[in-house]
Amino acid sequence: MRMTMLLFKQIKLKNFRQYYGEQSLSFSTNSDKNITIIHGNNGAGKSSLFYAINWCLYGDVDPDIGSLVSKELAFNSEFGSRLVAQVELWIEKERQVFRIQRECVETKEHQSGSANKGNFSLVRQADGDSFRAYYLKGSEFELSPEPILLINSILPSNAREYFLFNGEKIEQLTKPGHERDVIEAVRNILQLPSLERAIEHVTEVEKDIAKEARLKFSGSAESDIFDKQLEVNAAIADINKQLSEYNEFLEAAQIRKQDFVDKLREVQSVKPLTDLRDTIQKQLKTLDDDYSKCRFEIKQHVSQSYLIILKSKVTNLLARLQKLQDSNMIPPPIDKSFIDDLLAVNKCICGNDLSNGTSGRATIDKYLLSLGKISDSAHDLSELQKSLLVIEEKNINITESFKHHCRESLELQEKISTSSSKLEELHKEISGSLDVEASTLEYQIQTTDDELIRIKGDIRILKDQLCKEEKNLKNLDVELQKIQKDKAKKNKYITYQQLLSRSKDVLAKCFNDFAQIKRLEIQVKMQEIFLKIISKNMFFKKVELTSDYRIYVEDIYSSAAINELSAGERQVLSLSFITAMASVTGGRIPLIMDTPFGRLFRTHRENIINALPSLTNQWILLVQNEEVSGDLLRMLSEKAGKQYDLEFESGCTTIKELI
Amino acid sequence: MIKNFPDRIYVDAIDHDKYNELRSKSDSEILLPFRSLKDIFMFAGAIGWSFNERLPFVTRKELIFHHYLDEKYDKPLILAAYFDSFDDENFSKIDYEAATKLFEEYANYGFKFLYNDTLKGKHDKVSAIVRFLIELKHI
Repeated sequence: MRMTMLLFKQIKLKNFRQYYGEQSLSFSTNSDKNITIIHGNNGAGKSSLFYAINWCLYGDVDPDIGSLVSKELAFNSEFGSRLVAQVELWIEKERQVFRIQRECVETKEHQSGSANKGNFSLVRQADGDSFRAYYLKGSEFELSPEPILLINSILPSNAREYFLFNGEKIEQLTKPGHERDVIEAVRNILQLPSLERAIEHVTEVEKDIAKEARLKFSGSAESDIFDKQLEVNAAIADINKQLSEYNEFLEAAQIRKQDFVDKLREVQSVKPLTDLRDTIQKQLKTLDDDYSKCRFEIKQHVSQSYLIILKSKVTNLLARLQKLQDSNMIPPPIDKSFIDDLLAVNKCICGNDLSNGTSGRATIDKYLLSLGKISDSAHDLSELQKSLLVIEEKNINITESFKHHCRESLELQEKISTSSSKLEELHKEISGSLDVEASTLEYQIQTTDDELIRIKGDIRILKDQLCKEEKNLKNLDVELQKIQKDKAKKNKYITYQQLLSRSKDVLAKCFNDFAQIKRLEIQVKMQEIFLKIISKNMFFKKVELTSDYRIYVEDIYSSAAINELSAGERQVLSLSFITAMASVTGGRIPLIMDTPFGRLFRTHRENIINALPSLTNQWILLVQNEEVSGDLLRMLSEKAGKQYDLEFESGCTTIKELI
Repeated sequence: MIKNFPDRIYVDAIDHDKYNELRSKSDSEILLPFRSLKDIFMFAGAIGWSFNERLPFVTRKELIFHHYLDEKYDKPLILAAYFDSFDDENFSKIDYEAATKLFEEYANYGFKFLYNDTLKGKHDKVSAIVRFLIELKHI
């Protein structure tokens, strides 16, 4: 924590507990006499004053403390009155003055139905609490819009226990079982939680980045794709090998078949039949070619058949547009370039003269004039009309052509079917021939044909497989390219992660170094103060703040002595620890102590009075008269800039300034 | 006239791959009817418009760039379908983006009809379309 010079300047209490009416006191801000002593016997109002400071700054409410409004005020007020208790504190930090104001409202109510003036209870009004912080600007105080933030920037609430404390608290700090309090004290005073939060935050971001990277790049690894590519390439090689074998089979079967066909052509008994078959087969080949061409044309037409489907739509729209044109809503669909051409030769396509002054020229001029006046939408519709006229014309052509090719296709299919039937008949005739050689050769041709069909079928299957595998290979290539692209992106994520990891390490190192340095500083200062104050300073060898922030005291026998300390010695140790922390943070925190000397014997009190004022910039002491008197009081008074006495009389405390 | 069209044509994401199934990548694929994705889109849109059926879609996927559509027939037909969706009295001007969206919705209906009805289970898809055109007396 970066503690800059902080001073309590003044407190004003208005009807706060036993402080009836308005009471105030100013704290000493003199650096040479930096002690403010507030004397008071038991019940005089020291703890109420201490509580008022806590309440004003942090709004702490102790349920056991009862009403905050002065009972004297309540007694003198009517039932149902809204009574206000208020505390105001003036604080100076870095030469900036702040005024902190807190108030609460309680209403005076009858107790147990009694109407007796003294028989009342005070009920806190939830809507009556107010908390305001002002800062001095020029000569005027201005209201801060964020009072809680302002207070935390002046005096963090988690660090207040170490400058606002009472005697009991001081002693507890070093009691066995309160080690956690010491740890928290160091952590809070040094603001270690802020550093820890920074480390946690960086760790969280690092995790988020890692998670995002996992989600984004969870696909296959490059090596998986390479493995798959190897597999697919092997499959393709295998298919190609099989294809090559099947093509050899095909070629062999074709040669065999041709051999049988040639031999059959030599058999005279069936020669007319084989000649006829050759002719029909030639015709069939031509028909097949024609059919393929026709199919191709049909396919071309199918691709454009959307124009045919929309024929009636186009016709209807053209009729609608014509109506609009007839009613002069849109201009006629004439290209301006066409008119320009006519005017260039001053002659219409029908031969009429279009020279200036002619009626034809007048019509054209009127049309051109109207073109300039038409709206965008009319122009668009005119353009649409032109396009639809083109489409309508295309439609007629394409429909006719389509019909023609469909008819041709049907005719070709019929011819192919007829030819195929004839071939089948010829086959039967040759097969059934009495000439054994002819029928045997025909059988062999048929068998080879069947074999060829089978082989072609197998080849087709293999080609389909090849096609699939090649497609797989392409997909793998695409996947590989994506992975390689992702890899570049992933590297970016890895860089982020590395940077975050390094930042985390640096923060952790800063944290450890800072905590270690400060711990040692506290340790040195704590030992110095402790040995200065403690009466048995020859008996104790050293005081340590261990690496796990525990206070360790060692005696001259080199054994742990913290558990053997008396209550007073523990109080001295705690005081040393707190003052050391205040000193390490800059030594500029005021210390406000409520009855700190209760358990201490004279030597300790003297030592503290001698040592403490130089270790803090402001020391506010709330003491019982018995705690400091005689020589001690004289010693203290020499260093006190302000002294007050709290006088309690008839239920009310009055603050009286002594010096 | 052909101006201000959006850059891309979109189809229902679930149909995107099916469009590719109907496109022949070479002339040897004689059983596949369409030469380009653009032709399938226009054919599908023509079915939807001629049936007056539109089907909006939520998840869209880009099919083609708008410039794949030709200026002579395709773009005017898209605008014609848009004009057709208005009465004369209600038509103010052509909204090119709305026209494209309208035709995309016609095509969405048309494509589902084509794929799930006309061509379903048909090996020779060219013949199936010819039959479809004959049945509807378009040819």
